[in-house]
Amino acid sequence: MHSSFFELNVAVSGLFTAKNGLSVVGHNLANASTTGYSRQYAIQSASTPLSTYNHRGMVGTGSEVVGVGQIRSFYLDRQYWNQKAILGQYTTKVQQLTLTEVVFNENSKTGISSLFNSFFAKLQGLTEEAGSSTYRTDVLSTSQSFVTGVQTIAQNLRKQQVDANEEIEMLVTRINSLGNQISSLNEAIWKYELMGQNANDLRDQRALLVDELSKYVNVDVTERDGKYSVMIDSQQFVTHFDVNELAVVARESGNVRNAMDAEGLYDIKFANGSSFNMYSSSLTGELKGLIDVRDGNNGIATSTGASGLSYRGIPYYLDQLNKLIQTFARAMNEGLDSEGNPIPDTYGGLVNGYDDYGKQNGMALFTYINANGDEETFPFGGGSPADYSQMNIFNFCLNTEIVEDPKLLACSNSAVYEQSNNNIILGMVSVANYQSLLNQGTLNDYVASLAGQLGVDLQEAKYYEKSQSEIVVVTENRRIQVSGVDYNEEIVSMSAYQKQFQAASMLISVINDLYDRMINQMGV
Amino acid sequence: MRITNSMMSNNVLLNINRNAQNVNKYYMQLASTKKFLYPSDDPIAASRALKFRTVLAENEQYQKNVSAGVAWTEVTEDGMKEVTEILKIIRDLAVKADAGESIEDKQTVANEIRGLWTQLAQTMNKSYLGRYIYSGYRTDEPGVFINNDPTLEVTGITQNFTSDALERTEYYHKYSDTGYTAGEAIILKLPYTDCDKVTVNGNSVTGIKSLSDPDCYAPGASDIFYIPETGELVFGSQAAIDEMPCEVVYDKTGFKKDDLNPKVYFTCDVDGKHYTMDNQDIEYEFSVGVRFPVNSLAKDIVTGELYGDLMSFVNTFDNMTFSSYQDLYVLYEYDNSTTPPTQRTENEIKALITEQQDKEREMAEKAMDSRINNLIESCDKYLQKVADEQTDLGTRMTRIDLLKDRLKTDALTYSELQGKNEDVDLEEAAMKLSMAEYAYQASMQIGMSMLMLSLMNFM
Repeated sequence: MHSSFFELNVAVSGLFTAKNGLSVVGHNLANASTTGYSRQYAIQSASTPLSTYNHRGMVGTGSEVVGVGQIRSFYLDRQYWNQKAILGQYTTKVQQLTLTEVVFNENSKTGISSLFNSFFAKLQGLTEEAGSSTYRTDVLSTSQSFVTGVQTIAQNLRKQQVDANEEIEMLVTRINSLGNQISSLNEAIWKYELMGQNANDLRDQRALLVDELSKYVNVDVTERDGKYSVMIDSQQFVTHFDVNELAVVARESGNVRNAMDAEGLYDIKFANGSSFNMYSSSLTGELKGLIDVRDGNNGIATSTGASGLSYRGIPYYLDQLNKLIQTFARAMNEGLDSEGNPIPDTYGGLVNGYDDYGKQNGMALFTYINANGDEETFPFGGGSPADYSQMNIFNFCLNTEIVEDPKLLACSNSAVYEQSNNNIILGMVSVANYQSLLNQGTLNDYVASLAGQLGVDLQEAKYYEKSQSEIVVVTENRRIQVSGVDYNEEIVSMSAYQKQFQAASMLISVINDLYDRMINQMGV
Repeated sequence: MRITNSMMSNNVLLNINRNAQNVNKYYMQLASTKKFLYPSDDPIAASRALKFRTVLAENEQYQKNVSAGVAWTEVTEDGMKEVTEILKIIRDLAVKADAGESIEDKQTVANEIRGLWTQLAQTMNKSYLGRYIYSGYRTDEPGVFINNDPTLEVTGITQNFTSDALERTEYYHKYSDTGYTAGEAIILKLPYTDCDKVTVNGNSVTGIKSLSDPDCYAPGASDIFYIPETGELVFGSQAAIDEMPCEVVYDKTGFKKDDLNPKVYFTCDVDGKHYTMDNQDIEYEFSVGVRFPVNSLAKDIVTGELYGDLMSFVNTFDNMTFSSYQDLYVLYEYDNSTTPPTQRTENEIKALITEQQDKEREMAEKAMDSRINNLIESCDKYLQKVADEQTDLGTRMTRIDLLKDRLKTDALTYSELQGKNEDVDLEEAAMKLSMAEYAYQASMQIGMSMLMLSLMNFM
C-alpha cells in the first residue's frame, strides 16, 4: 500500500515538469535571435514507478525532467564550414580584384591604353615637323606622363600587395585568437560534461567560433571521446586543450618570392617551428584569397625557383607590365619586337637614328635606373643584343639627357643632317599597329587582353561569390531548419506545458477536496 | 520540412538583397549612361570598348595629319603654279624674241629672261612654317643660295644626262676683238660656271677651253671641251653618240646667290659627308599603314637641266659682241699677205669692214634664232615636266581628300559602334529600373508582412 498523499506528490511532479519545460521554452524564445544558438528541449520522462503489493502491477509516480537536450547536427555544421571557407576565398578575391581593377582603370582616360594613345598621337604630330623643338618637347613630356602613368599603376599594385600582406597578418592573429578561445571552451565543456550533463550553450559558442574560423581558413573538426580538435587545411591546430598557433615571419631583405614583390612580405609558419603550407592547393578561405592575390603569378616558377602559384595575382600583373614596358622600350629604342626580330621600316629605332645635330648619339630614350642607382646607358647590360631583363616597371625612366635637350631625340635615319627627316619617328609610330609585336598582337591588344583577363577573373570571382553565398545560405538554412528556434513551435509547446500545469494544479485541488472531505468531514 | 523564423528572415534578406542589387545595377547604368563601368562588368564589351577608343584616338590624330598634309601640299602646289606661270612667260618672251626684227630686240628679250630666270630659281626657296618645302628632308637648306658663299667646297657633284639634254645649235663665237667663229655645236649645259675636275663617264674632259680660244666650240669628233666661263660642255660629233647617256661629275668651290644648292639638287660630298637626294619623300601617315609623301622636290620642278639651259642661254646672248669699226680698221688697214704689207685704200678697207660686220651679224642672228627656237622647245619640255609633277602631287592631294572623307565617316561609324557597345539604351534601362524597383518594393512588403506573422497574433 502506498503512502498517503502519494497522488499529491505525483501532481506536484507534473507541476515541476511543466515549469521546467516552460523555462526551456523561455530560454529558446529568449535566444531566438542569438547567433549560433541551437534550440533546446527538456528531456522529460516518467519517474520510476512503484510496485504495488497486491500484484496489480506498478503504479506511476509522475514525471520528471532528466536533462536539457540540444538539437544540432554535426554533419550539417561540417557542411556549412566547408562552404563558408570557399565563400571566404571568393569574397576576398572579389574585394581584392575590384581594387586591382580600379588601379588599372583601363576604361578611363588614365588607363594604359589611353596613355599609349596619347603617346602615339604626339609622335604622329612630330612626324609632321621632325625638326621642331616644340613637337619634340611635346613628345618627351607625353613620354614622361606615360612613364609616370604606368608607374603609378605599378606602385598602386605594390601598395595593394603590401595591404594584402598586412591583412594576412591580421587574419593570422584572428585565427590564433579563435584557436585560443576554442581551446578554453574545450576545457570548460570537458569539465562540465564530466558530470554527465550537456554543456549546450557552451557548445553553441564553440561552434560559433568555428563558424568564424571557417570563413578565414578551411577547417576539419573532429570530436572523439569528448576531445574536440580542429585542423586547418589538414594540419593540427587545436587539439583538445592545446593550440598550435600560427606565426608570420617577414622575409629577409632581398629575399623576395617574385622579382617584383615588395620587401618583407610574410611567410606563415606554425609557432612551434613546423611548417605551414601556404601554397597548398587544398587551402581555401579568406587566407587563401589573400595569398592568391598577394603571391599569384600564374604558375610560372618564382625567382627563388619554387614552383609558382597558379593564380593571376599582383605579381602576375606586375610581371605582365614589365614585359609590356620592356617590349615597348625595345621597340622604340631599337625597332625590335618581343622576340628580338626587327620590325619593318623602323630603321633600327632611336639608337640608330640621327639627332638634330646630325649625330648618331646612340642614346635610348626609354632606359632604367640600374642596381647602382645610375641611369643605364645603351646598350643595356653592355652587350649585344642589349639586355632588357633588368628593366622593370619601377626603375623604368626616360633618358635625362634627351629630356634636357630635345634636340638629342634621333628622328632622322640619314647620316647627313636632314631637318625634316622623320623616318625613325614614322617607324616608332608604326609600332602602335604592328600586329606581331607581341604574341597577343599590338601593344594595345596586349593591354586589352590584360584588362580583359583581369575583368574575366573578377567576373568569375564575382560569379563564384554569388553562387557560393547562395550555397552558404542554403546550408545555413538547412542548419536552421534543424536547430533554429521557431516561435510557433515554442508557442505550441508553451501552451502544452500551460495545459499540463493547469491540469496538474486542478489535480491538486481535486486531491485537496478529497482529503478535506476525508479528514475534516468524515468521522467525528 | 521544418521552416523556422530565421530561415524565413534569411530568405527575405537574400531576396531583398538580390533585388537591391538589380536596382543598383540599373541605377548605375542610368546615372552613368554606360552599360558597364569596369571591365569585370562585361569583359568582352570592355575590351571592345578599348579597341574603339584606340581607333577613335588614332582617327583624331589622322585627321590632324590630313589637315597638315593638305596645308603642305597646297603650298607645294602654289609654288608649282608659279613655276608654270614663269615658264610660260619665258616661252612667250622667246616667241616674241624669235619674231624680233633686230638683234638688239632679241637681246632685250634675253635680258628680260635673265630676270625671270632668278625669279624662277627663287620659287624653289618657298617655305612653309619656316621650312623650305622643296628641299626634301633638308628643310633647313634653301633650293638656291640666298647669300654668296665664296668658301663652300663641294666635290663629286654628279649629274646624269640623257641625249635629250644635248642641244644642237648654231653658234657664233667671238674670241677676240676681231676674231669670230660660227658653225654648229653640240652643247651640254651644267648649272654652274667655273667647275673643277669635270669628268664625263669617269674620264676627264679632253680640253678645258676659255672663251678666248678660237676652237672652243669646235672640238674634234671624239673631244669633249669644257668652258668654265659658261659652264658648257661641248661635245664632238662622235663623242655625242658614244658618251650618251652620260654621268658628269665635277667639283665646285664658291657659290653665288641664286646658284642651285647642290645639297638639295645633286648627289655630292660636303665636308666629308655624302649627300644624296634619294628617298627624300616626307611621308605622313594618314591612316593605319597608309602613308605617302606630301612634298615635291626642287630638283624635279626647276631641274638642274632647266637651270643650265637658261644660264647658258643668257650667257650666250651676253657674249654675242661684234667687232668695232676701229678694231676692224686696224685689222684691215694693211694687207698682210704681201711682204712688206701693203696699205689698202679707204674704200677697200670699208668694204672689208662692212663685209665682216654683216657676216658677224648674220651669223649671230642665225645663232640667236637657233638658241631661241631650242629654248622654246625646252620650255615646252620643262612645262610638261612641271605639269607631270603637278599631276603627281594632284593625285596625292585627291587621295588625301578622299582619306579625309573616309576618316570623317570612320569617326562617325566608330562613335556609333562605341555608343552601341557601351552606351545604355535609356528607355530600356529606365524600364528595367522601374521593374527592378517594383520587385524590390514587393520583396520588402511581402517579406515584412510575412515576418510579422506568428501564432502570437492569434493568442
